[in-house]
Amino acid sequence: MSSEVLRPGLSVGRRARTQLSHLPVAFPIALVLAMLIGLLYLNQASVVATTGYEVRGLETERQHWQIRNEQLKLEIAQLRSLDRVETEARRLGLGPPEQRLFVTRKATAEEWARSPVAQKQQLDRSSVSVDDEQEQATEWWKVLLDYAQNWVTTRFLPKPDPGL
Amino acid sequence: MHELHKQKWRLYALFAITVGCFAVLASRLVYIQIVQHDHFYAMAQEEHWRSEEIPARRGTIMDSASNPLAISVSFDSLYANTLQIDDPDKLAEVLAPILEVPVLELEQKLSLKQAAPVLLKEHLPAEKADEIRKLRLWDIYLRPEYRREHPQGKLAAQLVGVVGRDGNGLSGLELKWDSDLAGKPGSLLAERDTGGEEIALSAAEYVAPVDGSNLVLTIDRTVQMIVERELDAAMQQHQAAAGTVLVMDPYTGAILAVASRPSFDPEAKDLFSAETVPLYSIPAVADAFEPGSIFKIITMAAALDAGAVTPETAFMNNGSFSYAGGVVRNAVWRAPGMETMTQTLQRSSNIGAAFAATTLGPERFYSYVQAFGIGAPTGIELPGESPGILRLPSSPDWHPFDLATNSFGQGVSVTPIQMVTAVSAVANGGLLMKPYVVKEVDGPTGRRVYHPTLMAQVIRPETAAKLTQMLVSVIETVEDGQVRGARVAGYHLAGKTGTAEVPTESGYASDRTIASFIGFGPVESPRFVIMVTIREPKDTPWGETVAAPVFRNIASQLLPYFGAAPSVPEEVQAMESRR
Repeated sequence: MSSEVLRPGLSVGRRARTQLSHLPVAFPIALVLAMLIGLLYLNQASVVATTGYEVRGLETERQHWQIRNEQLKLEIAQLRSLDRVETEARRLGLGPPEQRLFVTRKATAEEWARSPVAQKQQLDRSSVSVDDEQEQATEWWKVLLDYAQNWVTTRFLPKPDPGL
Repeated sequence: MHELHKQKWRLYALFAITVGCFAVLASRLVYIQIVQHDHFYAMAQEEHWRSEEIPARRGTIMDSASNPLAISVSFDSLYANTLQIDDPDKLAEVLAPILEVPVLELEQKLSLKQAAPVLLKEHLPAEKADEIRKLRLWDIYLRPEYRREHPQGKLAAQLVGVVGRDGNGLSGLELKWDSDLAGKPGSLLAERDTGGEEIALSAAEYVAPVDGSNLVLTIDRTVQMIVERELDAAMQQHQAAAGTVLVMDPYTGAILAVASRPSFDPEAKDLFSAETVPLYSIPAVADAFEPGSIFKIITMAAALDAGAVTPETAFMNNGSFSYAGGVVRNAVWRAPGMETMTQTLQRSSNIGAAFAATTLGPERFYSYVQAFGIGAPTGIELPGESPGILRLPSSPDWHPFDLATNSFGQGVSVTPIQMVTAVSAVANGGLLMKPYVVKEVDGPTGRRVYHPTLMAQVIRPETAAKLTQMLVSVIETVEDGQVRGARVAGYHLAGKTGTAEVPTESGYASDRTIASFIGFGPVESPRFVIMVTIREPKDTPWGETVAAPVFRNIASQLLPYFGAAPSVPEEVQAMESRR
């Protein structure tokens, strides 16, 4: 009798039977796994959706507070309007001055820069034409020449007799 | 056998019908899924995905100290999805007391069966919106929408301008600077649920809106308020048809205040009515008028600068002046004999002005007038600027006699902005500055700062100084024991009155005048140039009695406001102690 052995271990028939015998165990496990995965997915989807709506809710709330903030800024601007300030001042018994006292003091550098006189000087400088600049240059040289002439005169020319 | 055959046939028939039905269904499916795929895909996309425009915030318009004059603020508006409302009457009864709207009106709105949301109430106050929110109603919802607010009320309404219901600028700065102010709207393309709400954490395409830039003006709201109050008082006192006041910084060309009457309330409900819309324009730049005697400042500046006359140049004023076939007379007949150029300005002599212009000659006169910017727009960044009318010798309708009439402001028309710009050149030593009203544009794309622009040196500083002294004498000379209307105790101011008749198709209407005054001060270092124009005063026609007091009232408040020390403090103290 020749016994057909395909490979060491189980024969084909026994192996198939063994695999079939695992089926009652594997199938429920697979089913449970699939259910677990499904449940996990559903749970995650639910959590994501809930979180999403919470985010939306918070965004709406943020928007609401932004609107309130804008409206309060408007209210501040309205309260600071000159008409309202004047009304309140009058209600407090304040009014235009009846007498003024003028006190003069030296302006700071910043105040001076803002003053119309400084602005005028700035404008005058910016409007200086080329001819004016040449004229100014000539005047500068004239001053230098005058100085030199004066220096030569006082140094080298004979001094007048104080007795004359 | 026959019965069996019959049954088989029925079976075949049933099979054929079933197959046929399936075939029809399959072909329909193929038609829908394949042939009409794009169409139905687009429909599905449209239902699930909806694009929504996110409006950009319009930029704020502020005065020189950053106080908002026009600002966009979000308010909640209440909408309803009426298709989903089962009981509109009940809902109306709940909402009506909160919205302060008649129940019937709400019922009508809620009963509208339309796919588009129905607006129930626009721009709800925060408290009302909170009350609605607490109701947690499904079929109505709040949506934030911008509203243009004017915290300073009617202040500078024409200058600031109006924004239409669509959010676009219609007039004033809102129109001229619309491209800067408007910004760029964004969009949100998102998946929506059956209620039309965005599905949280779904895929979405969001393009953020770019907010509009803020404008910082050269306008000082305190100066503006002073100007508007004095203008209102003058309008009421003289029952005038219209009035304009313009204040400029002569050294920079910055507009400090601009006001006109009649005006409008930017918060009023009739803002878009046919009666209000004509008031949108800015008369200070849009309305050209015959300036009358205030134009003598330009005539005299030209004649002095060209060396044609000096302040002491005298001529024989015998009550009329003949030139080029025409005769010039003064508004009030007077023949004082010899009259100097300074007296010409003091007495507002038409004959003296004609003498100066004709001595100068047409070529040089019009050359100076044009150099002062008359006959051309100043280029200020405001809508509807008029160039005025200036006929030149080269014009076919110019007559040589026009030289004489133009010299005292007849036959020529100017805008207040042109006159203020021209007189600023006298105040600042001869420099023509370009007027401007926006000093800064600050927005998401960057910050632009506008600086004063020098256009030309129109007259020499010495001429400006001489003319200033002549104009000081106009205000300070006591005529017939009467102190001039523009005099402010303690300060040296310069200025000139004008009384122009209103031109009509058949000549001039003698019963209607434009009373004006233009002046500046303090002359030692001028802080402002003020131009006052009062149209058609009912009680008295003269610039001296109508416009000059407005100038005085404004100047007397601006001088201490600008910290200008009086030239003669004793005068101020004496005046105050007399009160």
